[in-house]
Amino acid sequence: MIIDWANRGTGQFAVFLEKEDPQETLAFPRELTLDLNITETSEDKLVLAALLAFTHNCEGTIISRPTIGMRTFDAILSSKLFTGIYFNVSKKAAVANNQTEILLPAVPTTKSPIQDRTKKRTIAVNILGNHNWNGRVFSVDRVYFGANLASFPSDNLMQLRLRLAVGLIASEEWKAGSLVVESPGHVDTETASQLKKLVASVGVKCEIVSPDEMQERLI
Amino acid sequence: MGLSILLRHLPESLEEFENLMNNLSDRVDSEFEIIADGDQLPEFMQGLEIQQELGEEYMLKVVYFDGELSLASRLNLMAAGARYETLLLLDSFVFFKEDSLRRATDTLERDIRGLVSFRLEAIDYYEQPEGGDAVQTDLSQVMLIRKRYFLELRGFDERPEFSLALSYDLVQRHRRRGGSVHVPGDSVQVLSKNIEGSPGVEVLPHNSARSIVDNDRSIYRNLLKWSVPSNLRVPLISVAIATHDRVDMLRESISSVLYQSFQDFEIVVVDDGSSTAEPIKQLIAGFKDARIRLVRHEESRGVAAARNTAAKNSNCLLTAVHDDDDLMLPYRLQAGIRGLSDTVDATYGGWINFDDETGELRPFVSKEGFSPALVAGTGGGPGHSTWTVPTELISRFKYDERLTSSVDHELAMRLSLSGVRWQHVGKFLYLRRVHQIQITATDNGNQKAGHTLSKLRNRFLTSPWGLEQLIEQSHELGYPDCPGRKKLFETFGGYLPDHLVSRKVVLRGNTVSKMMEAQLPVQASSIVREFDLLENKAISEKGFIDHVSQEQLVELRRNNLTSFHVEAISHFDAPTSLTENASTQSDVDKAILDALSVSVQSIRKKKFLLHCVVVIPTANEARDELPGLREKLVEARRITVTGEFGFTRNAFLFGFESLNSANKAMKEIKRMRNFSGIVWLWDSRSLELIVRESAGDIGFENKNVLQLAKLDDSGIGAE
Repeated sequence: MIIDWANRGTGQFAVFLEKEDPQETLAFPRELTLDLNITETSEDKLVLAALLAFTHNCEGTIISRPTIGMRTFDAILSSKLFTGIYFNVSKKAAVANNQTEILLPAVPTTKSPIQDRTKKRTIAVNILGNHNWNGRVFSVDRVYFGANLASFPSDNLMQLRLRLAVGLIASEEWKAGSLVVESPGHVDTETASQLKKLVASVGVKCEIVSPDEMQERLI
Repeated sequence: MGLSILLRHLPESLEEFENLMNNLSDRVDSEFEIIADGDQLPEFMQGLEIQQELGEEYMLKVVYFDGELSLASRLNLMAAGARYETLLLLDSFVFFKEDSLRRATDTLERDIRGLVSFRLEAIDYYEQPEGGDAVQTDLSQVMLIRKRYFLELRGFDERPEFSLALSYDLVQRHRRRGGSVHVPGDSVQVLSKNIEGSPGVEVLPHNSARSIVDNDRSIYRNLLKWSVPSNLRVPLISVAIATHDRVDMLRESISSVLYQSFQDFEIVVVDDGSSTAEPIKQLIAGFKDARIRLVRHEESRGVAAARNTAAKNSNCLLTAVHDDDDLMLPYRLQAGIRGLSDTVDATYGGWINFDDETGELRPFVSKEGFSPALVAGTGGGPGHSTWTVPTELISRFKYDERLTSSVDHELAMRLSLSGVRWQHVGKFLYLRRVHQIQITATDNGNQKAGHTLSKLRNRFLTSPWGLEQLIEQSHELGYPDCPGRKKLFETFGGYLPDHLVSRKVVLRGNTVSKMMEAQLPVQASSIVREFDLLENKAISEKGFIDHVSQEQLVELRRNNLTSFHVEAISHFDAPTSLTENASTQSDVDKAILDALSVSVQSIRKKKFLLHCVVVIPTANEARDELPGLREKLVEARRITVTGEFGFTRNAFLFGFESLNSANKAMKEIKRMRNFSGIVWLWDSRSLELIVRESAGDIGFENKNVLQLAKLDDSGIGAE
């Protein structure tokens, strides 16, 4: 199996899976599509994003491309979120950036993030279902864009994983060192801890917050 | 939640059986039954089921089968007849550890269309069942699945080549439709004698099993032939029909669904606020078919809302879109389902417009590979009534109720932009009625606007460079070669409405009993038999039933008559001179001409150079006398047509590679003693009559013979 990504002619950026062996199974959904053009990417972050979104297709397969760094590999191997996914490992490592923080509300909001002048800039990334809305709007503290989250199962955990995946994809371009993700429902401590460890392996800090906690960070 | 446990391998001793029962009694905290194959039942188990029924906490149910059935068929029947909603399929004789089975059943409570596949751990039965070696296997010998979902997947594939890879195939099909395979941390312990590779264990090596399973990437199996009786099946596909004040057309539309080759469907009719509810209610009730359900909007909410209502009321994994004024071709559902795979999420196909007044046909093939590129290039979309789509996708994405038309193109576009892959099935799937009160005709302005908006969504974010790239990609997409494209009326005319055509049903093989099954004795017109005189064997047998109505087609399907072909005669075509003469004799003579034509066409596929001598004796006899020059004879066939009242006519077809030999044979036949009839010399390369010699008038006019050649040229009568 291959994890790949591209800016497409439609004006969308997609992370997707491709078969390497025709006998591999590649069931729907097999691509995560954002209404963005993305020029700065990190392979390790994109791999993690793909695993979070496409676990159903990746388990029991060898991901031959891209190669990933040892730290990311170790985190995937020791994670209880996946079983039986194999990678080729290289010496590279994700480069940490820490200029911004990304907030990912569960429901798009018109509110802005509360900025702490002593800390890094915070940007609220609002994701709209591109089964209804297409496009992107940019402001320095808020962005809105469409993504195909409706293609995936609608349960809370999956939707949390998807927002985390989108945060990881965007984090390279936005130079984000931390993601604050709202979980609309309860996530058990073990799962939350697994997700945080995984994201930490690519140099990004992750916080999973409740709807109330997210509101406290918005004005 | 009760558990039905299907045993594929039965224990070899009472001790083994009791150990299995004790393990299950400890590990299952609900009611359960054991289902065993009666034909494999060892002697020590005979009669055990009677004891179990007398108050034990589990039930042993022994299933006996009629006749020779494959393993897959047996297991499917055992599963379909299971009492409880969850199935534990045991390929091997296993022991569960502690609460692994309980946790697995909990998993299925949360994911009702999930599948739990246990890892196996080999143990020796006579030692403590601890510390065995873990066995890496993906053939899934032990799995837990909901009974309804097992039946939705159409059970184990009953084709013989799958017989040793049944469970692996089922798991792969489940994965192809995006299902989760839950693998519990705890393995189950299995006697090493039951592990593949052990003596006497009939399991294919992994590679062989994989190649058989992976060569067919489809998801749903046993579509046309399945050992599970109809009353135990669950519907796989909802046919969604939105209607508004078109009850007469709706009758024909529903009938076209009822004579589908694939029968495990439900029909959800959404009456979108028809002015009076009663006519549609009565129509649906009149079909007396529990598969048809009616949902009504008291006020019209538009076609998009009606379609969303249909999805909301669907009980099936898949939805086939259908309109109240259109007619499905009989293989439409089967083709749509069969095309789905791990890389194809939704299918579509071509369609044929027909003029509701004249019957004129016009094909629309649609390009392959509907995608943003195709929309950018041509603006085209998949024909709505050809869609086969997972119902869940329609429920999640929904038709946009703000639009009054072009709602299909708009939804198809959104699905595609979200990663849904569409594929053309390479067939025409339905007949689209062109009439004055269809949405396209009445709402043309909105139709165009909807289409424009849909295309705008596709290009809203693109740059000129991106658009160019998409258009370039669209140029690489081609048109599929849909069968029947060049012979529209001959191939599909039989499925037009009754007011446009007269229909003839052609039965093949074992026709006498099939005609009895058809229960249309008055309309049965003739039986045509073809016999190879050189090989001394029967080639074909066909029975014809004339003037079959659409309603009678449905009845044929209800009577389980499936293998027939439908031919049509347009009400608008001038009848031939033979058809005008409606006597039994002329009907039989016409049938002889048609059969000769078909026969020559089939011979030409193998032997292009052929000169035929056709002999039609006047006398009602079938003397299989071959002409001289036998060494030159390459084909010799007798065609016998039996019509009403037993009136019979024979024809003989003698084929030669050289014109000279054929000519000599013809002259010899003419000299044959007591011969009375008609003899032709017929060049089958050009399909032209060369010489006609009549030794007695049997009623064929020369123009009819010439017409035969003409008919052949247009392909009528071809297989």
